[in-house]
Amino acid sequence: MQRTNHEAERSALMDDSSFCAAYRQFSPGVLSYLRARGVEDPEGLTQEVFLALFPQLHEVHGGMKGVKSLVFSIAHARYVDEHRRRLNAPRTTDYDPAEDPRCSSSAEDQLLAVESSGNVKALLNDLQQDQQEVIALRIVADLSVETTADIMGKTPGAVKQLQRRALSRLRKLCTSMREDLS
Amino acid sequence: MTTEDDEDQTRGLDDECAVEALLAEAGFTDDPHLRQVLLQLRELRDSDVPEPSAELALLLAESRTANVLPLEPGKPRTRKRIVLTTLAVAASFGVAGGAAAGNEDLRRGAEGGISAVVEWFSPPVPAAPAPAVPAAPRPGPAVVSVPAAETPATAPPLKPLPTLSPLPESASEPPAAEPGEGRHIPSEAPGASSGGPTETPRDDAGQAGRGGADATAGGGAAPRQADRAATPAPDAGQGRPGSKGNGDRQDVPVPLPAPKARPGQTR
Repeated sequence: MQRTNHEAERSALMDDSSFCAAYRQFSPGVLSYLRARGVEDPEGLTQEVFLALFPQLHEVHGGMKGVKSLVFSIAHARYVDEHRRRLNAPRTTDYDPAEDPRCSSSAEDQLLAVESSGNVKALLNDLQQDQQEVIALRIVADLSVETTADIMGKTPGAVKQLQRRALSRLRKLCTSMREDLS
Repeated sequence: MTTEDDEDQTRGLDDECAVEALLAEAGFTDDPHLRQVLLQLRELRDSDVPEPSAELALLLAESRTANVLPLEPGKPRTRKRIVLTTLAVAASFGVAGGAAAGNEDLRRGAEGGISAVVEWFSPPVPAAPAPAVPAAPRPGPAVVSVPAAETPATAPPLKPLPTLSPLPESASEPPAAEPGEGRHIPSEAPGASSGGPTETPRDDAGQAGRGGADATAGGGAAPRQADRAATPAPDAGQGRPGSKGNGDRQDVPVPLPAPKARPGQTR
């Protein structure tokens, strides 16, 4: 009896110690995912994700794989909340001359913009919400189809279909952009 | 090559592998532009661990210290050991108490000890029967008291009773209460002898001697002498000064005021 309790305590302590490992391993991916989704404060939201993870860490099954799924589930839920809040509230951002649509860019800037990673976000924003989410989770967060399906509440087949449509849409956007530049 | 370059190279290889797998799943393996876009999306991944906030840093510090706790597994054990020892001692006391309560020998021994202690501390009980017994025999002494004077030598050993002698009147009370117990009377009824002689015949002297012996045994000699003094001198002067018994008998006819004293004392 005493031994069982001791082992339980040790396993609980292992879960507590795994919190550090989870933060080191998954916090960069969460931050990148939230940045790719265009959250206003990705760093602060990343902190909130792991603060929410800590009390649930003892209930996780499946080792670090399960922890990863739980971490990105929390991140996805926080992003959805953030997105809904942004839809209901007026958007407030600082003025950035580079992003002013009234300014026209040169052909060189447009070519460099297409090649740069900063423009990838614009391409991503042209996709539907579900397609954006699938691409972000699959590519940026580096999650499997099954995990992505669990997070989004869909079947793996539906996720694969969304993924395929998203890539097809990106392919068309890239082609049209190149045609516009040429 | 530095370690950073190695990390960049390995990361680039991982990104390429992930993109190739994704394109293979979607069936767009022959599109280099899409591949390039996906690689740029992969570059959005940040490899730096963000700086934790104060609250999160506290949790991380606690989780780090949690690793040290398994190295000290003795503390909880000692606490449990103390609790178990306490319970064991309490249970043993309970069992011992129950066994002692169920054993009759121990209970009797304890009762005897307690009673002995109580007797030792309690004050000595006065001899209650002594006053009660003298009261009853009074009627008898009235009859026997006369011969008792013949055996004065035996009286001395029972001196403690004379304390009652100064109250001859009190002795007159018992006769009315218990007239049947004449033999026991001599023990304490000196005053009763005063009334007795008046009625006792001289023929009974021998028997009275016996009764007097009994009376002396009861310890009533001293009062008799007092009765003699109270008796009128004329009888003594008339003769037989040498004979003790005759002298006593001559004293008998003199009536004593004892009967008058009864009601006064009782009241």
